[in-house]
Amino acid sequence: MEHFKLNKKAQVHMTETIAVMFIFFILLSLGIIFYAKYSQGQARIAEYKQFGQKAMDMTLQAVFLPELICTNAEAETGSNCIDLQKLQYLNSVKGLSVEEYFSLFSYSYIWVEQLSPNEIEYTIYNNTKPEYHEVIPSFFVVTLKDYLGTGSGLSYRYGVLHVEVYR
Amino acid sequence: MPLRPFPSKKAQVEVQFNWIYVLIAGAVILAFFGSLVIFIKGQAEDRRAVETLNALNSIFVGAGISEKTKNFIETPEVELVFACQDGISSFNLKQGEFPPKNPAAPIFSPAEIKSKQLAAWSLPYKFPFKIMDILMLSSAKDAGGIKYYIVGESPLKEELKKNLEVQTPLSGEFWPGFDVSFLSDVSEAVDENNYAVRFIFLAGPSFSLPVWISSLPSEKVTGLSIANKEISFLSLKNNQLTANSVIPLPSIAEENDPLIYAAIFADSEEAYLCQMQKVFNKMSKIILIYESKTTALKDFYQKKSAINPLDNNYQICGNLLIKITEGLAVMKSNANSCVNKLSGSACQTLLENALAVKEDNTNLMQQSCAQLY
Repeated sequence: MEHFKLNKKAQVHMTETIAVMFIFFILLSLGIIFYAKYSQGQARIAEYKQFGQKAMDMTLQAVFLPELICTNAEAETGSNCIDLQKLQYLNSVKGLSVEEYFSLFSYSYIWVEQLSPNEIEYTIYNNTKPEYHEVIPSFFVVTLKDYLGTGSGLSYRYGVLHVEVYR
Repeated sequence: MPLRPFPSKKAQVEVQFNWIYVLIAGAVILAFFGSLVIFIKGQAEDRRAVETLNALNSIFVGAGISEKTKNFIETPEVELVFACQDGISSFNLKQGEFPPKNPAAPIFSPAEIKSKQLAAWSLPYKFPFKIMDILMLSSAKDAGGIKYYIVGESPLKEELKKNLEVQTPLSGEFWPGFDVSFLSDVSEAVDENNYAVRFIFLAGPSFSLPVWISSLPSEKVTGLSIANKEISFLSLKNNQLTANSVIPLPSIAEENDPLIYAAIFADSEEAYLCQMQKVFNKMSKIILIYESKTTALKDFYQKKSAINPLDNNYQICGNLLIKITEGLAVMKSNANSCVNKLSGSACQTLLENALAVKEDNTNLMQQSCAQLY
């Protein structure tokens, strides 16, 4: 009888221990799940921020690309101004070579939309991603310097530089 | 008072077992949380390192696209390493294994930068039209990084003083400048406990060094000799700086020559030539674009000349552009030959080509023709 009583007490003790451990592991796994979810969210935010930063870097590089920008002899180069003759040449060869410029522009589509006097599109770089998760578009209003315009030769047009970065 | 009976042997074992059980469980829980903390700390450090690299890359992009910009960059306590191979440059953190960043602009800097404050400066390289912006990067003044001793007298000294030392602009941000000291003689150089030193000799050919240099590891002492438009990288052998081959600079800049400044900040001759490979690759692409622009302008003037044969100006412009077209074709082939080394007859001819194109562009301007650049 005494032996049976002791065994029952031990069984209760064991059940208590198991219950405590069970609750402890439940709480622990809940904590791990919450942390994992939080980390995932943070990683996604960091990834998005990084992609946004990359898109901004690419846009800046496109706006100030020496292959396109206007020059004025020895003077400092103008900002937000594109040389139309250089642009026409790039458009005629279907834009910058993807092999040579991939390190600079990766997966993106960069083009200039001339708004006046007539609407024309000029491709600068075209390497879109067929299956993309996200695209960040940005645009800048630019002046197009035309050396072969009317009258004395030099004239200006207006356009928009579009940059779409794919991920 | 009755004596308390001794606990039974079984109870003794049970008490001991409980203690051991608690100890093991405690140790396991402690180890688990300890490893969790280490894991989270490692992750946070990695995230911070990646963020630092991304931020620096963006700063370099920004600095590399705006002409004549001086930036002051404050970084976390990290060591940066810069490398260049086959015309592809990269930078990374010394500690940890992170994917390196490959900046588009050529960065002329020491191989290692150990400083919390960096100074960056960009200059456009024009040959004669703009090729790209060149970025110079090193530790800022008084940041305990690399020290530059500029030795000797030369007309270049005043320009270097104006460009490399601290500047307080009327507007905009304060720029601390690089850690430079201008000396008449090398014996004036004082040990300031910098981890690396670089001697820039403006009037060679003697490259003697102060005695305290022997306390620094040989790879931390480098030098450069500048004479007119020629440079020689100096390396330390037996406590003496010896000159490597003379490199003529393909530059037509009359002042603020970016290639001279690039050589001052480049770690070695190999690093300099590697970064210059990037510049020359870009040059080939830019020449191609200017070639097509010249053809477009030439065709325009030739058509105008055919319609208005009495207007002599169209013919003059057309002829000048024909000359430039021929010059650019030679320039393109010389630029391709000059990619891997800056010396040689092709590079010398390239310099003459660039000067000729510059003169022709001035003539276009004087004749009221459309300019090439």
